[in-house]
Amino acid sequence: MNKMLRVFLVSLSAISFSGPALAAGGVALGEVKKQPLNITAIFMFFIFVMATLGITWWAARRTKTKSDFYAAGGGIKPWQNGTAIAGDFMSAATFLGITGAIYGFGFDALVLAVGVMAAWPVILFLIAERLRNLGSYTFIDVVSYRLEKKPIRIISAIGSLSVIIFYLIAQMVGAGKLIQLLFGVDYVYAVVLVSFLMICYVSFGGMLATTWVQLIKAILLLIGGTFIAFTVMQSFDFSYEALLSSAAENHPKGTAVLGPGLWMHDPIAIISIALTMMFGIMGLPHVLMRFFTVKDAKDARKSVFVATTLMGYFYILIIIIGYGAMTFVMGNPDYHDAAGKILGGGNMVALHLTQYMGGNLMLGFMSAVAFATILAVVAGLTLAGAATIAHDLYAKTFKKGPVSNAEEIKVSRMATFALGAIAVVLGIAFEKQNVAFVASLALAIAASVNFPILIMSMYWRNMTTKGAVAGGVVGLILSIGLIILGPGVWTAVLGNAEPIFPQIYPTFYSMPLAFFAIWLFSVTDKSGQAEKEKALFDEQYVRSETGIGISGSSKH
Amino acid sequence: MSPSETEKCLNNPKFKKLTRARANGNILFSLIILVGYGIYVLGISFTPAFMASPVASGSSLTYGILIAVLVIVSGMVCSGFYVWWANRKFDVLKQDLLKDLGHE
Repeated sequence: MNKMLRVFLVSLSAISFSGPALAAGGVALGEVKKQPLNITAIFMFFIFVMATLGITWWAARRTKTKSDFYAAGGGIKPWQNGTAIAGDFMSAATFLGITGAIYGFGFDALVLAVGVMAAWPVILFLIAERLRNLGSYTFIDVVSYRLEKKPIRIISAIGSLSVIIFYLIAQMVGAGKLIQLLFGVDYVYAVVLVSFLMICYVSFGGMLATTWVQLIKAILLLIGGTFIAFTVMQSFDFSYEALLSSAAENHPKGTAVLGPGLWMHDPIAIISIALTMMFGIMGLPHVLMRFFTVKDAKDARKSVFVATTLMGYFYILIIIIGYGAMTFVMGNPDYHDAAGKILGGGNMVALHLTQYMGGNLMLGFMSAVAFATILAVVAGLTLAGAATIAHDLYAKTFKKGPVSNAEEIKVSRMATFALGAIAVVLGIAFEKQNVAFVASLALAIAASVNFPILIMSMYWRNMTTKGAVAGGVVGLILSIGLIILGPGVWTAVLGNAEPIFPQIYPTFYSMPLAFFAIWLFSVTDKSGQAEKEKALFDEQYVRSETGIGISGSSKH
Repeated sequence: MSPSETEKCLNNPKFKKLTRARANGNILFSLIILVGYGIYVLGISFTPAFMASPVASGSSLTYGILIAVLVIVSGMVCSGFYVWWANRKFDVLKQDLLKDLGHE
């Protein structure tokens, strides 16, 4: 039972699509053994690092104002931004984690891909354009547009920073384990190296460098994924029937891998995970921030289309790769140890298949891309964290009087260093912990705190500061509290026999209750301030629809 | 933007036309996605046997996999269609309105 639960948690953590989970995967699926040095992979990774540092140098010379730093001056093209957004989702955890989960559980793991693909179109229809029209650097600009700045910025910044820190922990542990596995580098060195490169990209190159790093990595990953999926389909004469039936023949669970039930049974748990996936994505600060890097709402719209198309394509590749691995990796003695266990754990399935299809050269290439992917995602997270600290908290909340460009960039750089240091310390502290819950926590907070406040601030005239703060507090306490009482922490980390709260994801309860609190405390708010805030909705509405007064629009 | 400008824009019939067209479009598109995702999620929650059944006898393709792929593909198609629609219809209405209001 306990082992089943651990496997379940590990696979759930793959959801975090940004790599972290892997880490956890490595921990729970067995001891991570340091691999012999992989020369091709190290060589290719070295080229990637040189190229991205070159880009950072180039970007640094173009990063002069805070608008350059946070939003690349609004000068990113839609296809570039769209590819970078897709890059945030085509991560090590998607490529390795979801492939591994499909390999293990078959159909049930697809929810990790389908949830993302349901979220993005809705972001396009309901959020992207309004967000671009109303904000300048972070989504907190948007939620505080007509509300009392101080309390709303503080509660949103807490939500935002919690998501970022939990993600960073998961990422760092994931990075450390993965690099240990792929390159044979010590855990501590790996964590320090990731943090060092990430600080370089972000503090010197700002959003411009961060976007390009993500963009290049996304293209490399798409090329590699296409190659593997293509060769898999080629082996089956491009017949999906043959692919699926061969997968079922080779998997010990047989045709059960083609339908639900191997991984999830309880309807509430399934709905909760589905809600977390879909609405958590709509509240991720580092992703929402990317909408401010293009010049206007129209370009924001185009970027989401590019992003959605690339992600959809990539997820279809992943499905092919996952089912293909059942044929070519399962039962192949080259990839199993004497006891019949898969070498390196479930997260290595995609790379074993890469090696089978493309030999050691391709394996080296994809290993380097997997590492690059972690770097790109942590850079985006750190930049979002630095923007929240320097822009939302320092410049707009606590500092009295105007803040100059130079001063704000300086604070952002200090915040970047601080976040880099925190990431190293927490990464090392959590090395031996089961961090599977951390990734679920990040998405659950995003779905229960950031998303309700954001969507209501844009669409509901009667939301007041009191309502927004109450909703944020309720969402935050419930999502963190229920995860601690649930199987992710209460049993897996604290070692208790039975969890007090039965589900891994609290979103089924925490998100609706956050909305309820926003509603309740807004309609009962009869203060003069509340009336003023409601009156301001008209102006916000006009701007959100027409873009009159949009930030950065003077440049085109 | 001053309160009088806001007032002027809100009362402009073109603004009303624009926002109505957009709200209808956005709700329709979002519903398509939500219904598709809802069928998928509720399907695996409450009728797993159906989701595991093959679409044709002897086929390895199950309804579950078919629906999952359809949700992914419909996300791509709907996004593309929305962008095409918004560029053609919505942006034209908006430019017209902005001209009326003396912007651009």
